Amino acid sequence: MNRHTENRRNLRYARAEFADRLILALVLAGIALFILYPIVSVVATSFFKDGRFTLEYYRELATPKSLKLIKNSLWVSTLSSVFTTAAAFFIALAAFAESGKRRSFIRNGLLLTMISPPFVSALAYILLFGRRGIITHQILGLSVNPYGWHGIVILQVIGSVSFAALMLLNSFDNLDQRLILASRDLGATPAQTLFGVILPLVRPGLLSVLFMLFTMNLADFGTPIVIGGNYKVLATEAYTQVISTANLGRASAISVLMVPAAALAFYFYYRAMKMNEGNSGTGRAAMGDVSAYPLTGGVAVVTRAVTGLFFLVMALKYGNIFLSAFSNTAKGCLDFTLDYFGDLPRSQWSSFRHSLVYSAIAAAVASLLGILLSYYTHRRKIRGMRGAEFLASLPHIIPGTFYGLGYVAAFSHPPIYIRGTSVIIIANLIFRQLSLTCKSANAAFTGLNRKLEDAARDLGASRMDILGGIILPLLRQIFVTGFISIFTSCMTSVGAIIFLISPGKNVASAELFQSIENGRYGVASVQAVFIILVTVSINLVSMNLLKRSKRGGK
Amino acid sequence: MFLKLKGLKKLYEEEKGLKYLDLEIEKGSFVTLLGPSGCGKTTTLNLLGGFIRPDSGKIYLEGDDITDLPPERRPVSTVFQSYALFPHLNVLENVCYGLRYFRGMKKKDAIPAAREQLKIVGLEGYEKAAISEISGGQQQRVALARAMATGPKILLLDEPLSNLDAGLRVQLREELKELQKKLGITMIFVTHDQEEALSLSDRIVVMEKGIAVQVGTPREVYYQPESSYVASFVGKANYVECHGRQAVVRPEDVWMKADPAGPFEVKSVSFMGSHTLYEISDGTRTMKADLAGREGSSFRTGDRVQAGFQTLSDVSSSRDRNE
Repeated sequence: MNRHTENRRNLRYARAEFADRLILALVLAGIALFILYPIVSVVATSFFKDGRFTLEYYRELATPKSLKLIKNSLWVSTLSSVFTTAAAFFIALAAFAESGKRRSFIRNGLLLTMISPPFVSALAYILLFGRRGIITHQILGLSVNPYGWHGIVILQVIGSVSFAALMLLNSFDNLDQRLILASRDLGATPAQTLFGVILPLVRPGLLSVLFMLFTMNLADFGTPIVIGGNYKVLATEAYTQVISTANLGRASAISVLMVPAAALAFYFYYRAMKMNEGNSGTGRAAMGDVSAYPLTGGVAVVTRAVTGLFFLVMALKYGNIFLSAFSNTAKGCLDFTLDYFGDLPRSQWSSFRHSLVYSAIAAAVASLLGILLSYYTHRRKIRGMRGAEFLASLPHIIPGTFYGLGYVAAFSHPPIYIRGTSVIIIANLIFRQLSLTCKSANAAFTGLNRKLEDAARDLGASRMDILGGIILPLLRQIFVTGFISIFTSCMTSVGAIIFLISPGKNVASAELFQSIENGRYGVASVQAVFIILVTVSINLVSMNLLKRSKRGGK
Repeated sequence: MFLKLKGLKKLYEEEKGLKYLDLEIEKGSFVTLLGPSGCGKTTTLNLLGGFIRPDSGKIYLEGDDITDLPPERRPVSTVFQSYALFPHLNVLENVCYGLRYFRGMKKKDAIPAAREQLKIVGLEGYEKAAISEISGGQQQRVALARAMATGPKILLLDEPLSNLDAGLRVQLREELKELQKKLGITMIFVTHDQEEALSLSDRIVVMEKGIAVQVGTPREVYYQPESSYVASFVGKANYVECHGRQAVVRPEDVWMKADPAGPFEVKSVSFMGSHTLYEISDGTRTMKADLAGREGSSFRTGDRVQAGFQTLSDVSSSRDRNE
């Protein structure tokens, strides 16, 4: 090798080392600025008034009125989370234990029903079971009051059951299938196998789902506003404090109050993850499409009944949204109409465009950042990165209102004043979802031979050559699936975003929320249909691209 | 000296790793590091490849200190244990990788050079194949071609044959030996398989608990083991008292004769096909015997036999740590 190539190579390595450090620094800076700083800001805001330390906001929470809110919140969240977890357990079991066409139907159904803009269930519920609901009023001739705590519970269950079932399905799929075969081989009945082997093994997953749901429901202000009627909870209080009275201190204190539940969720979630790391479940490859736990007897009856009910509810929910987008039931019968399209707010299209652009940017950046974070933490094992990874997983687990408030508290004043810009919305979407791809990248990395990078270096590749030529291409699938799910959740989420939008920077999901709040259900249905159709088509296109590139790549 | 390791040390927790290694390796030789897992042989290889830095000690290649050179700048290439072929690149692209990055060649120059390497290992026509489509033996050859393509001064092989089934292992062993002779490249080979070590090497470094316990030719290591550890790791051994010193008798050097009044009784028989392993005992001591061929397979458990051994090899007791 001559001196010239030698010099060129040395320069390349030096440049790559620098770029490597720079990327790492950017990832860390992003986490510090957009995760740590907002969280600290909320806590600080709850303890300081006019620059002085005070417990005033917390003392206010001890008043009888606030205590009632706390009690309401706990009651509703507990019921919703327990019912959701129980239903999700059987749906996940069905998705795990059924075979053939049914199995893929349930799995695809779960994925599809994840695409649910906020309050679509609320909308369907009111339209079907409300005072003038199609089923309660027009078919059964009743006039029931759908508003109140039972409405909140029903809607929270319907709204989160797909998510919960998918999370649990992951625990089921990670089970060592041989344990189930062994249990059957040793003469256990299906019920004994379920309660003696399967249930204990998925318990960490079950607990983590339970507490995650609890946190989500605790932070959910939208459902109680829409369907709670006079029934108020903590989250609605925090929401109105910010939106109508701009009392950040009180809202922050309320959010901080929600943290213990989130912490528990986090604890069980981490234990579940550790368990999964420990046992690498054997795939069903050796058994073809046959389930290790075929459904029989009483277990089959319960499982199939719950799953059937789930699909019935989902069919009602989506069917109703599409129906009510194109029909008017005011006269007591279904009239086809396109009126609602004319009634769409004028800002509709710009909000829709914002949603698409923000979600696409956020999904791409979050997927890439998640992979990089995982790479530096678990592949390069850089000291201290585990702490950064922990911080990055916080936004996913703390209540959405907390995180949204954090951005309000942190970025409404110098040194970083970005409230009212697109940047704050995109940053919020990115860092809220960061840990999603980070986790799937972690899993992908454990399946990748550690020697690959050694081999590349041995063959003269620089840090950047390895990152761009080996790591990222190998994790392409993680990137695309991460992109899809983050995009979907950005398009349909409203939790933290609602505090950050501003006139001219509205997004479609928030616009939908406002329509429902104003009782314009027909328009809201049209908006929901748009969100669903666009999100579903982007999902399908990306999945097809992924499939094709997989085939083409071989 | 071509390659010189001086006082190399790299310890991990629980005493694992390399305690101390002095080693000199001649240009063009085939040297095997032999030992059980945890003996420090892979640590040595990783130190040579530059993947880890030693706690202390130096590595000199042709007189230059390369201890602190990272792998991407070391003229040393590795064939990894499970090959570490890039699964998203095809066969040709895998071989091109080092040509482009290590040698800094343009793609159009790298391709013919890579084809040349594939020809050497007998993989013409597989250029466009995906890594997942080819067999284990073919993957092993791609890994070899990929490492050779960078024109390394030393080729490191980390148990490259351990993932193959028995028949293929022997075939590739022969091919590797031939290739090494033809190209005259220095190879350092890591294995825990004594048969592989004996058949391939010019020199064997037997390692135990992070230390090289004996360095020598295959014959020296087999017939003049310097410790009972070496004797039992490289082949099987019987230990006998002889003129007040302990000596090693290889089981294949033991002879047996059927004799109803013989002092030994056959305790167990393992028929291996080409040879048969016996355990015989005279009540006070037990010996292993290894007899070849059909005639040697005729003894049964419980038979009384006469037995003896023909040759002895001393185990120098001064260096015997195991006693």
